[in-house]
Amino acid sequence: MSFETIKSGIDRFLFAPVSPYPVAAFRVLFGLLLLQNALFIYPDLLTWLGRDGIISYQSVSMGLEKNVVLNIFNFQPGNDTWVLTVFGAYVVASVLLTIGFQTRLASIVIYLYLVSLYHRDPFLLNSGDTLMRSTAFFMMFAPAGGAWSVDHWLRKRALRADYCELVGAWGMRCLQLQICAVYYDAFFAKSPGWVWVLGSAVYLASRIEPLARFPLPISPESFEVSRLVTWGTLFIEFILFSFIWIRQLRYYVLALGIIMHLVIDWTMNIPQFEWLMIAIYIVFVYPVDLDRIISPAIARLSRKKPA
Amino acid sequence: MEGEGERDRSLEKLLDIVLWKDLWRACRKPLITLFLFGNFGLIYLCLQMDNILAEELLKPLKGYFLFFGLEQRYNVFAPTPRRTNLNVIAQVTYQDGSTRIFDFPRMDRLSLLEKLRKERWRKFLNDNIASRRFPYLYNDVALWAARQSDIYRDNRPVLVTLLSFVSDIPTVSMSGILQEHARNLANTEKTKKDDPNIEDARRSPDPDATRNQYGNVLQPPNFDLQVLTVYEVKEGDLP
Repeated sequence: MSFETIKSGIDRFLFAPVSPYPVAAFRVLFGLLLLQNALFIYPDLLTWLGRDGIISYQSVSMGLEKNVVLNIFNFQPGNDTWVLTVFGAYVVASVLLTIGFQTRLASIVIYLYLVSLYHRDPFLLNSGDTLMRSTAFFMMFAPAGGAWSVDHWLRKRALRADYCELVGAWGMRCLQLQICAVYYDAFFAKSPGWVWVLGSAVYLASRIEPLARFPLPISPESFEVSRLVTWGTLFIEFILFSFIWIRQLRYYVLALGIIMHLVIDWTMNIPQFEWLMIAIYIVFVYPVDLDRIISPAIARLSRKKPA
Repeated sequence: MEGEGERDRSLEKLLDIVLWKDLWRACRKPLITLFLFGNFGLIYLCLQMDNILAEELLKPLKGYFLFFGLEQRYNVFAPTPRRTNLNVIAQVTYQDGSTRIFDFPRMDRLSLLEKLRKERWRKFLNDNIASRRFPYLYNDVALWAARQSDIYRDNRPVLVTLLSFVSDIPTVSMSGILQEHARNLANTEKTKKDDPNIEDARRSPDPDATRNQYGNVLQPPNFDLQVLTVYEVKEGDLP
């Protein structure tokens, strides 16, 4: 393989013009999940981040490595009004991101809030929050407002033309690689655990009381069932960062991924992580298929009712 | 006319130079490639568990990584799911010597909707407080519990004991015995009113016994209570 071949491969992978539909569709779902996230944290916002919050600024900084961090809460430490202002800006930005108005600016505000939340109190954040933060980072660079957005509608109106501009693939690739990073870690972090190899891991996880939600129709108390589900989880996580890149297999892999996340969501209370994972799969859907599903729905919605 | 067009083109070119458009056009692809491969390279290095080489490679760029909050792990239930169920409570002692148990939100006692909303409490208390990973947070949590329990004007909290309950999750082979235990408990509840010996049945003479004197399966000895911290409320702690 020559250097030129690698260069042209990278060029095709990152800079080939692609449809903005997948990222735009994800933008809408991501915006809705961010709003839900705001709804979940709001009642305890000052308990977590306020002046008399459960963890002080000093204690958090005690545990952190000595580094300068991006934390806008630090501009006014111990000021509850500032906390509420930042939170308000985050809610407004989430609405704007959902509808695609001032999309880039909204993405930046959302990322700033999420990264600040992480540096203010990392002890209350789960994997869903981590994924949300890193996704928000890459969303700042993705062409999220390229379609199905107010920004796009305004551009069309200004140019008096109905068009959809193709964009460089790299913004979408960032999101795709982020998903692969999740499953890569999930798979390789589990592989040294003997309970995953022997097959009793799902049984153990199902017995963690604070996480329990609804029981599975087939109980993992049986070793055979536990083994089947444990190995099935490992298999699905493996193919979600490897076989997903094979065009012919992609939709089958995504279907298995959705089933896995729905089962986890049924049995365990890990809000948002499963939903975000399913939502982000949309960046793996081929634009033609996405357009085939979504455009008729939009056309039907925008069709005027007869007088 | 031709001269005018020439002038416009020159102006456009000048603007391009001033706005660094040519430079951007030339650097765009290498910069984006570097950004993408650089960031994901770092993310994948960060995901390597206990890998000295990865740690060393990451060291010079850790500042960048931490600043932007890009460090991430998705090792839930890895390498082994936790084998214990943990809960945290606080015992608050007041000036007059009386005590009160302060309960933090407990997932297993919440409704479905509340569970969704309060999931952060599980993360915070179960994963980060009860697990004893961050002892420097205990005093803050105890102080917060004191503030929440400061409800009597003339009898204020003076001491907070932060406690953690730990119960082991039995292995698969033991889960059958627990199911039997649960059935026994249910039967016990049913017959509570009629059976005067039921209290005796709970107090088994042998602490290591797996069955009590009536032959019912007992909870295996897998339960522990740990004191996380004892916090003395100082002047100025309470508003």
